[in-house]
Amino acid sequence: MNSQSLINMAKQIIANQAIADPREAADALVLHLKKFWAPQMRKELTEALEKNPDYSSDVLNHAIRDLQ
Amino acid sequence: MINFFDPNTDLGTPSAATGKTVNVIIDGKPLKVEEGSSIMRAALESAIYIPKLCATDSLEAYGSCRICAVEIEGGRGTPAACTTPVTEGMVVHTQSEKLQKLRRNIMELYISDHPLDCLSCSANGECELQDTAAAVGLREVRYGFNGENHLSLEKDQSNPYFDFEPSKCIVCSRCVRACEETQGTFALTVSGRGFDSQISAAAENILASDCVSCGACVQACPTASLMEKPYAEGRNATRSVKTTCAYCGVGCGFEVDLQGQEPLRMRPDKSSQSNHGHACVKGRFAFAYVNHPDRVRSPLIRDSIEDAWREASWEEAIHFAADKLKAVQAQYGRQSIGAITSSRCTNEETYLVQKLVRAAFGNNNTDTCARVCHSPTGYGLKTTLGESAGTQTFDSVLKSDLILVIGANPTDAHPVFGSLLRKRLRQGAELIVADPRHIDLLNTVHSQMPLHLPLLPGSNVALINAMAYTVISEELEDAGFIAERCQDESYQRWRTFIADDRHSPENMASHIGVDAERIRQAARRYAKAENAAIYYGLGVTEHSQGSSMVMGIANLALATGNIGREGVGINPLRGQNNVQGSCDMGSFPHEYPGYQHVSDESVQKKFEAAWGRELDPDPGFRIPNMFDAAIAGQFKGLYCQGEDIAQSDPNTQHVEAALRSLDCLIVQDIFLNETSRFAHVVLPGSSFLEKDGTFTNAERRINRVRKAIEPIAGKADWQTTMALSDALGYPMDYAHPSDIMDEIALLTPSFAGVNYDLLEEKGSIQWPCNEQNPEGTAIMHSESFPIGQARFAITEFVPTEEKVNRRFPLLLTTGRVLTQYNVGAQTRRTPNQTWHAEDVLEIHPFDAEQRGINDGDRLLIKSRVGETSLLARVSERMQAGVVYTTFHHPLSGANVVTTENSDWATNCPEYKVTAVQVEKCMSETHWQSALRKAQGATINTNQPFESLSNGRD
Repeated sequence: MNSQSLINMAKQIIANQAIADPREAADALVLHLKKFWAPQMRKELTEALEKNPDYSSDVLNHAIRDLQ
Repeated sequence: MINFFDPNTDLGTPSAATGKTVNVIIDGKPLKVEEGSSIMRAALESAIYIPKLCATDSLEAYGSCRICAVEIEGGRGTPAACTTPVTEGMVVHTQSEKLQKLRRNIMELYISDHPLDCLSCSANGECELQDTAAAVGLREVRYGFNGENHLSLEKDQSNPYFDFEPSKCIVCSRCVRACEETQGTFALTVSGRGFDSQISAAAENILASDCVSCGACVQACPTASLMEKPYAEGRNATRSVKTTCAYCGVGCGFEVDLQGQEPLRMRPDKSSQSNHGHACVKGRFAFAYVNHPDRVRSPLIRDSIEDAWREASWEEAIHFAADKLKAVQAQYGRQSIGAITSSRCTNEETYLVQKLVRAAFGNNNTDTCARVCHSPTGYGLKTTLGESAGTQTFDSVLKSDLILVIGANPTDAHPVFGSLLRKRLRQGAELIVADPRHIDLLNTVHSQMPLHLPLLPGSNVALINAMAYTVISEELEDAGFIAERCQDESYQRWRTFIADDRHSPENMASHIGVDAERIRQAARRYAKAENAAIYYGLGVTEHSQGSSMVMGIANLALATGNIGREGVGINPLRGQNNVQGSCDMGSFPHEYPGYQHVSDESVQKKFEAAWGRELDPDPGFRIPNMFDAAIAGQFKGLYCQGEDIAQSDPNTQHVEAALRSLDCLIVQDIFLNETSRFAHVVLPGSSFLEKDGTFTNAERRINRVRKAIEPIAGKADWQTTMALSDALGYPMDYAHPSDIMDEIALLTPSFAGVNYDLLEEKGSIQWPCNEQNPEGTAIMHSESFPIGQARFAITEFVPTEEKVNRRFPLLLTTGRVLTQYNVGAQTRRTPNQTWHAEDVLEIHPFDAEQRGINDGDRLLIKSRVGETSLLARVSERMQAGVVYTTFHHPLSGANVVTTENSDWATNCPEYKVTAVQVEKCMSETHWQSALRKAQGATINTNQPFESLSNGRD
């Protein structure tokens, strides 16, 4: 799947959940991804962020650790 | 006793609904009747017949025909039974010699100016004039027929669905009143005085008038003056079947009158709780598609989408499809196939498709067309209220004091509910409309001045937050409701969030495009109303913040205590007939039927035990994910039931690329739709008249669908899914859809009490229907929420990424028209083409002038993803900077220009916001020419009926 699109979708969730604390925001993101995203998408998101750390953020870094 | 024609027992006048009774004596019979009831209704309720012509119980009493004259002891004269209310101790005589003579005299005058062709008249046998003449004992007309009369008046046959024959009209004005009271259009009037009185449409003919062809006048007419064309042409039904409409989410009940296998007309069912005997131009008249020559009548197969179709037997096609799916899974893995259920199919059919995916495919790659319309409703309402459904009945609106309509156009998209809403507005309720476009509801006559908030597309969340800010900052919240019914922690968090000055109307006004004071006024009116209700549509959900907006709506309703009783609530207006049902039935990839999450271990075990298969505990792909995965080569097989994704989903180029990537696309549809161009197998679908089942409407009402004709291609859709499942090695064994409903009830807590016997007994049931609510639930959350206390949600305003700039300076938003439905597959194959034969682009005069555009010019519309061309309609319904179109015709290509931007929580596409440029052009785009050519060569979908577009849509 398009990795940039997956990263954008994850960032869109973070922005809309609007949680200031990165740890809490990451927990909320992970919860959302586990509840609504197919495992393959979660896996590819993690891989995409590992390959392109420049696209990541504090929240995403926390989140991919939890997803792994 | 004469058996009068009256399909649903007409009691003459509406119920007084006072709840109190009085004692009266009618024709010597002591009766306890409702206070305020008319004498006519009181008598008819007790089977005492009083003749009538101008009275009917769907309309207020009028008292013009005088045929219902009665005598009241102690009273003077012979008052009309329809306009005289009963009072305590009243003694009424309905059958004296004097009354009979009076009635005969009146009837004699009517008949003296009426054609004497009863035996050859199309209404023979169902004519109230004929019946009443017999009832009053009229045997002869003393005045002769040679005097001045109306017998040579010209017939108006302009409407494609019904004729108006004024020579048969008795000017009872039932049609005029039906148009006013029931429909709310006021298209008809009585012109002239005395002998010259005539029913008039205030135009050259009915088609050219404001008439919206709802058929209320036809329904109300007591003679053959207004009559459906097949009947006017002398045809008559041999049988009738009660069923539910397959168009919008109102779910109107109908009686289908048939001659053999041919439906002649659809009569709205007075006993239906969804529509109470009213209908619209689609449901009542647009059923010709059922027997249209374009229907797919045999399964079709081909190895490659470049090949021509080959007709196949059902057995061959089903095995061909199953073998292809098995081959794909063998090569690409279990997750490489999936299915899309249909919001047009029945609950039982939808249930079977998702079961097929989970049990036979072995994954959760099932999604539904609700993904692209109301998936944010599911997410938003589940998060805040604990249930993914609207909270009210339609009738609840009659108790509302203020109605807030957001991003919906009920008079076009949900016309029967739109009429009910208009009725309430005429009774005095206030109206606030938040919509970029000036919708027709704002033109409701005889109502208070509405408040229109013409917000910019994409600014919904900013608006709802600004309204909530006003409620909090001006202390308009319902503190008692919040303390008792809402989670305190979530409320405190939300209150802090929303009270921040960045949400003030003044700070948000520039994003919204509406003056701050106007926003404050809307918030105050909503919060201060005794009963305030919110109705919303796709203008809320189809945004990148659709879920936030739904939650914002819930926040506002909770903060003001507008939940849990009649007249209030949150009401998503569902676009298609079974959007609610398809979601309820487990179509989403993360939920089993009844919104039970796939990762819940106890739920999973329950379904595994019932279905005898190990089930996947992880969510599957949503539709947009399926497309992305297809393009990436990971997703290779799709079974698509009753959904035209190539036309309805955004960014057509992307969708087509995904469909071309598939090794196996199975399309099950009643027509060769746009998606079938990429299919390997086409399995003929069955229309709503060809099967049994249930639809669930926007008020959670489960209505029965009953088979009226045999499936044209031999199988109902549920039978086709069963056959495919059998061929895949997972046999399904149901003899009738009622068996499927029994299984649904067993596995779905909110449907636990639903079965076909109960549906027959009650007519319909609103879920939840279970041990706690054995008769169903009309108003939800009246005492508690499924999650105990309701949750306020944080709704940050995150502007869409789709921005205007110099290259794309206008915002395109999309919607629907009254006469067409969704992708138009059904309505384009009916005479509804008369009104809307092609989609147009509405553009504000300012934007048009800047570009030198005039009405009717061909325009090129370019977005970041594609371009299409449409004809211009210069209109002030949009504000400058915003353009509008519909998506009913494949050749319009509205979705060629819409983007893949989608809702953050659900991936519902952002159809409502696309930055575009518009300029004049000379011809269609290349893709349009190619499609026109391809359509002409393969399928006949283009304007099968003469187009008379009068530009009123």
